[in-house]
Amino acid sequence: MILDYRLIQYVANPDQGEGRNIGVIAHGNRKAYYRGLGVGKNGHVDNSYFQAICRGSREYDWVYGEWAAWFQTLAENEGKDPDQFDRLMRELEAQASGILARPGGLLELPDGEDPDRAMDWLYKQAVKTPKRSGPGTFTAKVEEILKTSGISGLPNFHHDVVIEFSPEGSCNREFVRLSYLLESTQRVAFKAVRLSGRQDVCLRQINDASYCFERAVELGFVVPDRCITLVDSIPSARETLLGQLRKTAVIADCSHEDAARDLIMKSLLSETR
Amino acid sequence: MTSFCTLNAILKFDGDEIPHCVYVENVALRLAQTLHIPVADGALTMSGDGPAYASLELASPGIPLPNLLKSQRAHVAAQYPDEVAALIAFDILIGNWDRGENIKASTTTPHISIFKGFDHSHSLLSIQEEAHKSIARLKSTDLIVKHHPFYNLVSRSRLEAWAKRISMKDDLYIRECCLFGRPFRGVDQQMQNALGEALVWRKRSLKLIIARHIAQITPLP
Repeated sequence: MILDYRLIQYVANPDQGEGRNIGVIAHGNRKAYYRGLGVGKNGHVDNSYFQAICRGSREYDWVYGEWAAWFQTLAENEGKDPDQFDRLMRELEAQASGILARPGGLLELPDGEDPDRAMDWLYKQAVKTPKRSGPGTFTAKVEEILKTSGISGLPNFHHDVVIEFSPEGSCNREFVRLSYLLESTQRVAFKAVRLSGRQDVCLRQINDASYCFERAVELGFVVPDRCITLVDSIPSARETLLGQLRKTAVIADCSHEDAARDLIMKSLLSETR
Repeated sequence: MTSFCTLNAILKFDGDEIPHCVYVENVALRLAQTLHIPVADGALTMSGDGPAYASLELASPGIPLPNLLKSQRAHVAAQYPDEVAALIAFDILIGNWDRGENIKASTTTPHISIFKGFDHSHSLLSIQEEAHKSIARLKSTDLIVKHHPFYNLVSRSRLEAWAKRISMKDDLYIRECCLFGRPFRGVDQQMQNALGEALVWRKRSLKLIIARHIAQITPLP
C-alpha cells in the first residue's frame, strides 16, 4: 500500500511563507488518514498545543479546534476520493487561510503493515510537540474547562459570588461564597475544591463547600442537583473525605479528558437552556 | 474610546470575468444587512489596483474558519436552521447561483456560534455575462439558483417565514441598496435603477418563486 501524504502547516506570516508542521494527512486505497497537533485518539482536540505555537491571542485558539474537526471530517468523507482530496488540498493553498497542506511525498508500506501505525510514525517524524506554558494553576484549569464547555460564555454567568441571606425569623444575615454562579432558568452553583494539596487545607475546603451548598439549598437559593463541586482530581486517599461532599453536591473532576463535556451533563444545561 | 488595528480581508476587484464585481459585492452586502441575512462583513476600499471590495475574514486574525465541506452540510443545517433558511431565501432573491462551499460556520466549539455566507460575485448583475440579461432574469419567476448546498436540508416553514419576511420589506430600502447616487465604475445610474426595480419585483414574488420551485428545493417538512 502506498500512502500519499501531505504536511499540514500553520503559516503565521504569509509574506514569509514559512510554515510549521501541525499535522499530516494522507490517502491510500480509497481511505484517508489524519493526525493533528493536540488531536487525541477519540477525536478530542486540546487547543493548548496549537496556542503554544500561535502568537495570536488565547481568545482565538478555538479556531484551531474547528480546523482539526474539518480535517477529521474530510478524512472520513471527501478524503476517500483521491480527486476530491487533491482538489480540497489545492483549494487550501488558494484560500490563504494560514493553514496549508503541502505535498509531503509517498510512503510505501510493507504488506500487512497497519496504515494507522504508519500514520502515527509519520506524525512523530513530521510534527514537534511544543511545550505548553499553561494553564498551570487549578483556577486556570477550571476556567479553561468552563470556557471550553461554553458555560462561562452564557449570559448571567458570574465569578466569585457572595450571596447574602436574611433568613426568615432571624435578625442575622448569612453569607455564602460561591466560586461561580450561573443564573439561568434554574441556578447552577459551583465551588472549586483542590483535593491534591495538604490534608488540612483540603478538609477546610470540603467543609466550606459542604456548608455553602447545604445552606444555599436550605434557604431555597439553589436545588441540590444543581450544586457542583469542581475538583482538580480525585486521589484515592481523599475518597472518604469526599463522602460528606457527595451528599450535598455533584462532583466534577477537572482532570478528566472529557471534563468540559462532563460538566455540561452535570450542570443539566440541556434543561436550563 | 478609539483604537486602531489591522483587519484581514480578501480583496475583490472588477475583472474580465466579472466586470461589476465590486458593485455587486457591495450591493449584496447592503441588501443582506438590510434584511438581516448572515453574511460576512465587508467594505469598499482602494488599493494599488483601484477600487476594491474587502470581504473581512471571519473568526480570528490570520486564521479564518475553513470553508464548509459537503459532508458537513447536514450537521450545519441542523445546528443553524434559521440561518440556513435566511441564506437560501436571500440567494434566491439575488440570484446567487454559486453559493457552493462559500459558507463559514463554527461546528464544534460550544460557546462560539458563527454562520456566514460570503462571495456574492455571481449574483445580481453578474448572473449572466451581460448585466441587462441578469436584470431580466431577476425580474422573472426563474429560480436561478438551481443548486444550493442546503436544498433538501432546510425547514420548509422556516424558509417560507423568511420569504415572507423579505417580501414585506419596504420597497424603498431595496431600491436604496442599489443606488450610489452617481455612476459607480461601469454601472451607471440607469442600470442601478433597473436593478433596484428588478429586485423589488423579485422580492414581491419571492414566495411565489419558492412555491413554484419547491420540488427543486425539496425542503424538510
